Amino acid sequence: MGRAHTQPADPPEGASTKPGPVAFTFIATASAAKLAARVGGRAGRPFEVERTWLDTFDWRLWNQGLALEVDRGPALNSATLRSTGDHRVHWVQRDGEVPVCAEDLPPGPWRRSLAGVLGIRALVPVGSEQVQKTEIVCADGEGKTVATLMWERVGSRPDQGQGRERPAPRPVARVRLIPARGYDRTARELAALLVEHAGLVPETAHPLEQAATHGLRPGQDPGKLRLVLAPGMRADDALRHMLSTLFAVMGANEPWLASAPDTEFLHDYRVALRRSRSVLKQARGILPQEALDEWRPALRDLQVRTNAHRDLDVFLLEFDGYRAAVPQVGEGDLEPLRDLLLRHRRVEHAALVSYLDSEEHRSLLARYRAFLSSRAGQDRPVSDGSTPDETRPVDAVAAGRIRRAHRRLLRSGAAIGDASPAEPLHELRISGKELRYLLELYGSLYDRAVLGGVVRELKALQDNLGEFQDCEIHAQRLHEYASELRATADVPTSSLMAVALVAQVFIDRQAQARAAFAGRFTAFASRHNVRLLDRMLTKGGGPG
Amino acid sequence: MKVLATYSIKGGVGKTSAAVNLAASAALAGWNVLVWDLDPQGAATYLFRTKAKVKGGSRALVSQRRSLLDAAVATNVANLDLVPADFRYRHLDLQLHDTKGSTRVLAELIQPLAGSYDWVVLDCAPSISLVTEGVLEAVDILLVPVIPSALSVRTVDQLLAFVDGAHPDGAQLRRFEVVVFFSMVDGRRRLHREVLAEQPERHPGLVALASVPMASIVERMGVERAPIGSFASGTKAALAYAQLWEELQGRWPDP
Repeated sequence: MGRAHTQPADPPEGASTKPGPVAFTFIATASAAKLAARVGGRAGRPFEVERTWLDTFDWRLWNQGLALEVDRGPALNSATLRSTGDHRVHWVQRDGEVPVCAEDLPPGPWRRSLAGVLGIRALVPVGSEQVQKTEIVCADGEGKTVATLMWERVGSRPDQGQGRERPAPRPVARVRLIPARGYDRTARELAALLVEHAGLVPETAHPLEQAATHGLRPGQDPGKLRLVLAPGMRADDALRHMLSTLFAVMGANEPWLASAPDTEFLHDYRVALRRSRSVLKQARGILPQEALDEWRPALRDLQVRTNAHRDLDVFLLEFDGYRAAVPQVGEGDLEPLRDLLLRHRRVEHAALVSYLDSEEHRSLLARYRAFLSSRAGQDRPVSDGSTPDETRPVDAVAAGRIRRAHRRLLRSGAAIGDASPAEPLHELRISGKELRYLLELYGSLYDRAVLGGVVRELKALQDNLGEFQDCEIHAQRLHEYASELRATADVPTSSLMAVALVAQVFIDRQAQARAAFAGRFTAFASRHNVRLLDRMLTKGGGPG
Repeated sequence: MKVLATYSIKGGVGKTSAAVNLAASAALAGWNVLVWDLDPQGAATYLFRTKAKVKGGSRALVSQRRSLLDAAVATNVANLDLVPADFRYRHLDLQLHDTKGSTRVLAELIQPLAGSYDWVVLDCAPSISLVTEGVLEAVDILLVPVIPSALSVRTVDQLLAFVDGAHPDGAQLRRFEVVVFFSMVDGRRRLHREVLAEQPERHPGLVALASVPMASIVERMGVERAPIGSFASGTKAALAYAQLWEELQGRWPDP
């Protein structure tokens, strides 16, 4: 099943939230005591915290210009939401639990500022550092705090740099000038004084850019495919490059599959896996047949291990939608179904985690990595005669592969009539996916605007085929689950009827999708769209 | 966002202490809180160590040339901001009188705060005036401190008669709730003990279970210029305000 059609989260209520005044960060050369003396402030006792930045794995907060900073230590437990650009403080929460998912966000500042941003994704640690903090309070004559200077000596950064080289951490002192609301002018004067008379230098990079962990880079979604192919590149090098890039996406997501903070780690892992299989399927004549014979079934088996888990994730993500679809169902009638789905998911999850932790899987990864790294140079395997196309330029190969997949899709789709059974539609969906993957994988060779148009048309068809098949699977599974629930003594009849009603909703939706297919396909197969694709392949031209 | 006003016809019954300490409790619980000191005497403003001045005075606010968000300043309590008092608030009645839709002005000023604050606490001057009518249009909760004596309890009836009379539809359709709590309770006095024992039962929902004792530590706020929790967190008075806050929070868990 594809990405879940979850209800959109509440709109970002935080849009009208007024954050605090513009704050400033500096690199400090003076000690906290000297600085306090310079600004006539009162320095507190230094204390240690472990700082963790939280964001979604695809950086939804960062991309909205926000950074959520959690400091934990014997003297302080706090969470602070700041703007990344001007470091304004949106809110500070002390001693509270840190929520993980949008649905766990407590009412108040958390929900107001984050509910609309997190969506389906969970908050996970994306950066960390050890900090020794000293607070310097600057007050007016009434004893009212007008600004706080936070002097921070940054120590080692635990758990960083997996898969990313960086220089050894060098202790630095950072000074954050946080004005109190209503005292902006005082803060600006203080900032000028710090630069002119205390030798402080404004910090240009955000601290998280140095402190990111797990090989992450702020703003870059590790699940997103970033693939650039050069026209004229050898086809075998291009394919290995594709497979290596996809393997890196799988590698970024795999460490999170056990703890599964949200469902999208598995989803992105599976998409990268499915794309890899698609590359291998198209690799005949380019990569050694022996390798294809080994890796095509191996990756298929790996994908199969994740199928049931993903199906259950989608069921549970869409669960609230079921209730909305059958308003006549009583409160709580669908709960036995939810419990059953959760039980099944626990079993599937345990099985997947156990497999990922097995020697068999580790060995598979090691061998696959070795296969991918045998590229141009001395370790290029000697051709066994099965790869006549390995040296062909990738653009020539891409155009051929895309044309072939497109022709197959047009031919198969045209053969489907109103009376055709479901099977050819399912096969057409797979053909559509293959064409889509080819367009995405070779996309960097073509004009981006034209490619966008081609993909958009294909996506409209895929959505229809996806709805048709997903509804069928949902209805079928719901009947199976109903049988399972029927065998359970304490499930009331009203719950069984509720499941049957939900199944009927999917049957009706599937019928609607079937009725809409002919129109969608005709639009996709229009002369205009065929020409569009043809022009794109003929012209090439790299990213426009 | 919920708007709570501490209000009493009488002065010196603990309105400002309640506003300041409840606001601090709410801020400590993680809510974003704004106190608007509507009393020209500016006691809450003084307790928060802030200068009693709003740029443009009350006229700028009433004419909506200046928003409350612009007028808000931070206090020494995290998550707690203040719109300070201004001596010019003494003209607020007259300025409202000269303004079209005078009783809606305060509500209109407060409404845009919804995206930024969870709780807005109004510390009102002890009077019945056009400002009071404006407050009643704006609030969700009217919190009334009462000294547990027969005469003071009588003022509650007068207040209820006023607030219900002020609304054309009467008590049934009044859009805010009234919560009375006993303030300056002297446990050594039999009368205080008796009133305290019988009133919550006689007026369930109207009278809070928590009550605030007469304590010198409350007066000490004027010296420390901070909420009690900041300098005497374990005292009976501090616990009483915390308990009162818990009670309010229990009734309005999701502002």
